[in-house]
Amino acid sequence: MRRRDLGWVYLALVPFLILFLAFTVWPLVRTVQFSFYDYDGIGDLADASLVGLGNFDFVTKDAVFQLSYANTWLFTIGQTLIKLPLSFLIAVLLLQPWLRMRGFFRMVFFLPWLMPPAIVAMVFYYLLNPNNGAINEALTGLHITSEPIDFLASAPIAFSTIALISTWQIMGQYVIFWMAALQLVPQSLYEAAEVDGANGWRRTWYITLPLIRPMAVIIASLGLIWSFNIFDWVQILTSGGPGTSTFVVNYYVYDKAFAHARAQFGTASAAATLFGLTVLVIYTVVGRVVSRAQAKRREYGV
Amino acid sequence: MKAIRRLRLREVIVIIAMLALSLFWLYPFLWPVFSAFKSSQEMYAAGYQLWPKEWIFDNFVRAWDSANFSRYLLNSVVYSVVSTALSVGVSAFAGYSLARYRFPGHRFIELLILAFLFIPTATSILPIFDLIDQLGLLNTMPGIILALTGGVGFSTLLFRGFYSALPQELFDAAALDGAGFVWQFRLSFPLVKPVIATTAILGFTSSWQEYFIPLVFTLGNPDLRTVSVGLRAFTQQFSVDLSGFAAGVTLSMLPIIAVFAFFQRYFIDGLAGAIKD
Repeated sequence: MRRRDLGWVYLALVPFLILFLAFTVWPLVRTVQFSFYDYDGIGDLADASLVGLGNFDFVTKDAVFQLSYANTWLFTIGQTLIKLPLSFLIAVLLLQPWLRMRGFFRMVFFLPWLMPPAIVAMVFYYLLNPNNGAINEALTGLHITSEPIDFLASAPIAFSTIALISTWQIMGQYVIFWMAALQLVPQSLYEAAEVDGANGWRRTWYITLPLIRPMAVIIASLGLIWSFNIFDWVQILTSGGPGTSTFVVNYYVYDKAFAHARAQFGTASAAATLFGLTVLVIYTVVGRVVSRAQAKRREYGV
Repeated sequence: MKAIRRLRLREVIVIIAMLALSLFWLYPFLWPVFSAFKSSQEMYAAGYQLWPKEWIFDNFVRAWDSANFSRYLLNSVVYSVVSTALSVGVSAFAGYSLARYRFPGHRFIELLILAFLFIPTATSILPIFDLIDQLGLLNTMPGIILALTGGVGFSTLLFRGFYSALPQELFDAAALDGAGFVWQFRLSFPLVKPVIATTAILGFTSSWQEYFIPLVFTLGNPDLRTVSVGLRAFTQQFSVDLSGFAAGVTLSMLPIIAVFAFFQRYFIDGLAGAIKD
């Protein structure tokens, strides 16, 4: 490498380093720092009083935070268990050679992804309305239920509803992920299996799944980490309610920092730090599994 | 291309089942589109009927003019376009440098990016709010754009991976001919179009769909709201104008559907590209 090039390299990296340090590294350092102060977000941090681990003590004993944390896990696992199998099934069907109207089906499942989750949540808020929402009108009008259902009445039913409608919004993305993974399986393997008399399910179970496992691990872990960040759905559909029963961690942070007369950046930051640590742990565990899976993928040569 | 054979009964059943599922799937998408053409009275009495009895167009006029959606829509487009351009430009240069050159600090930067790849928005939003405030950019467009652009670690990794996968002889040959950093970068430009598409689409859709950041950063200046945040404020008014809301939702879909229609191939390939590395 020529000396003159080295200057260019550093020059090319400067904008990146500025953005990365300012918007990724520094905020994390500051969040940890905020979490040791009783800070209201206004004025100098130096003027705020240092409370040590007080915020962490408060947050971990706060029943609302405990609930938010549990809800976040519950939603993440529930939504992942719905969206991954469903999108896998659709992807397998979309790749069947006998399927007609392939383009139409692909578009149908992809379209919702173009709408922001926040707007989808607002649309569903009206669709699910117990008074005159279209879904309840259809359910009662077609005599499927006698009474309209309040889909956001309590935490279990609200989270089930959110898991389903967020799957509706995001599924196209996962269908595309699965299709990309499935297309890596050599067609000749299927043909060989067909000659040997293996039916569709057996082919999926014994050929497809083992071969795409490395990609499946990546898709599943991205799905897990992304759904962990749930905020929009809760903010719009339930605002954490009834009461605080549908709080999730992101909503707790938002609530503490922006929804009270005196902003509690300290408490919010302690919650955000704990949340970040959780994601870090997931990410590390998942990272291990992914790199092991990727090594395997190279072995298979797909 | 295989010859089309007659379908088996089982296959016909699957296709019919998928058609039925598609109708359910399309309904929430079509609901705002058709509702946007209904009168307010019809809207409340409509039940689950999609087709308007009478087609009305002034919902769009109302949403566009009085509810400020033209402003919000323009904001959303500006934020997404500028932050996408910024992140693609910055990460292309960084990814290229990291893939092609070994220099002091190289390993450190890469480890740093990996370590900070999945910081949740909630964990960093308060200091970013504070930082934008310190820069005097709170309640301004550049402030929101910077917050939306963020740390660009993910797209830099995508570029880095892609540049490493290119045949390095190409660059060596160019270097022999006397091409330096800049010329080699320009030379490789046609080859990296797929990864530009991937990062641009991921960047555009993620800032288009972002809600937490624009919500928090427009608390002090409603004129800067995005479509999502503007619609949300609209729905929180005392008496909700449902058909006006539907018109707003329909309008909000137009830009992204236009982008999608033009770059459909890139969308699919770009998304798939995100997991292949």
